[in-house]
Amino acid sequence: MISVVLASCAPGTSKRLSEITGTETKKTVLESAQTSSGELTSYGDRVPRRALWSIRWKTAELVYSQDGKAGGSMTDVEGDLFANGKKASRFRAQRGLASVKNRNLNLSGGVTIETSDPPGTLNCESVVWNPDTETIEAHGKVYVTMETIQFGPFDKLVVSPDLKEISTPGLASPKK
Amino acid sequence: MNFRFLPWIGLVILASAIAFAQQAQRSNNEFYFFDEFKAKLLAGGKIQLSVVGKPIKADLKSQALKLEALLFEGVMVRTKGQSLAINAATISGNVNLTISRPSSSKIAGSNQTVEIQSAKISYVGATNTVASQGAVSIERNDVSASETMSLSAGSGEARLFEPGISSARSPFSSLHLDGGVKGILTGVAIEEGKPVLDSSQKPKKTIVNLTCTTLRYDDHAGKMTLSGNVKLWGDHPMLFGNIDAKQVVLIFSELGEIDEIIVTGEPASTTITRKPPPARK
Repeated sequence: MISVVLASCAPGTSKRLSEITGTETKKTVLESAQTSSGELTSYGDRVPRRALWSIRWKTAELVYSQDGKAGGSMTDVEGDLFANGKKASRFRAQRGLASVKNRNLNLSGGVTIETSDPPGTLNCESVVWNPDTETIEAHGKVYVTMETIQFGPFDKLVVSPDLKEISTPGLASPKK
Repeated sequence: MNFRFLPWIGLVILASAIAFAQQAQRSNNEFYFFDEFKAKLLAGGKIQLSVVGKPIKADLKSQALKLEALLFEGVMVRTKGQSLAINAATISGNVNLTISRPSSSKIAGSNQTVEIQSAKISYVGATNTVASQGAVSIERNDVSASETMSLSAGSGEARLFEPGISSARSPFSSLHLDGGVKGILTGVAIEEGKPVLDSSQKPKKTIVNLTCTTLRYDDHAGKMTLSGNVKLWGDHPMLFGNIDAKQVVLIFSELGEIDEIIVTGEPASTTITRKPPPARK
């Protein structure tokens, strides 16, 4: 489930699209909204319900459907990544894209993820949150800098939200 | 929006060496030329690490150790201001470990190397101990001291002195080798504290060949014990012919010269000391 909180949504910016996706027998009506700031949080399927990530933005084009799924593209974003329901790290990037269907979170443009326990930071060009493994796939000039060790540059690394587990794709942990 | 970068992030970046890179070595890369790795940060600044290579190369300056291998699995630690160090690790696949220690000649700035090759080794950083359950070869090369040692065996364990420390005899504080031990020790002949000169007035080289079942070296005691079908031969002032015995003990001087050879077993127990008896002069 994804919950959407729209703050400062300017009046008249929401419009009905009446888009039809899929076949005639499966119609989904979508709405879009341009918003100046807001927050979106994604939760996992398992019970108890745990937060996976949350994203906040300065401007966004949101698309959400009647079945409660929502998402969209955002600019100037920041947010939190969770591990086992607890905040594990914070991120910021120039752009964000939240995938409604699969809970993916894509970040791009000067992505930075940082943790405080232990202190560390990840820098890269783009990030994909993998909902199956609940890990981050970091792409492009990936550096991870912790107190005791630094990794990089790599084209791609798979990293846990708390930056405590770091691997190349071939040795990444299997699905959760 | 209250996201802010904490000031320590900049400090962390400055303080950390680049430890991992898949491409060519940079001056501060500790692991490089590998295919895959997985790291897990543990409590106390330790890092559980798996690295798969082609081969892996590593340069761990705080342990004066370089390695090549196909697989590294272990726990690393970095003390403040130091390079990454092995706490304990199993290293396998064409392992080549090169360890550097000061020369036993004690000439300032000169080093000796110990090269250990095996299919699989374990390394314990706290005791600087390398162990191999399988065939192992050990090559010591001390140019400044004009000494080399080449040993091979079915298995073995070498404990080295701390980085930056060697005795005048050896970089090893102890050495245990078992099964089909073969060795060659070379050096310069010394008599009454002075190098023996050959016909061209150059220091005379010595060579001692050995085979045995087990070898035990204890640097503190200055003693190397060879046991089980021991054969000793070569060109050395202390060797008056070939030795064939159950056990041979080599006693080394403070400076690493063979001072005494104690032979036990057939045909008789014999002790050879540095000064040969008058009848043999």
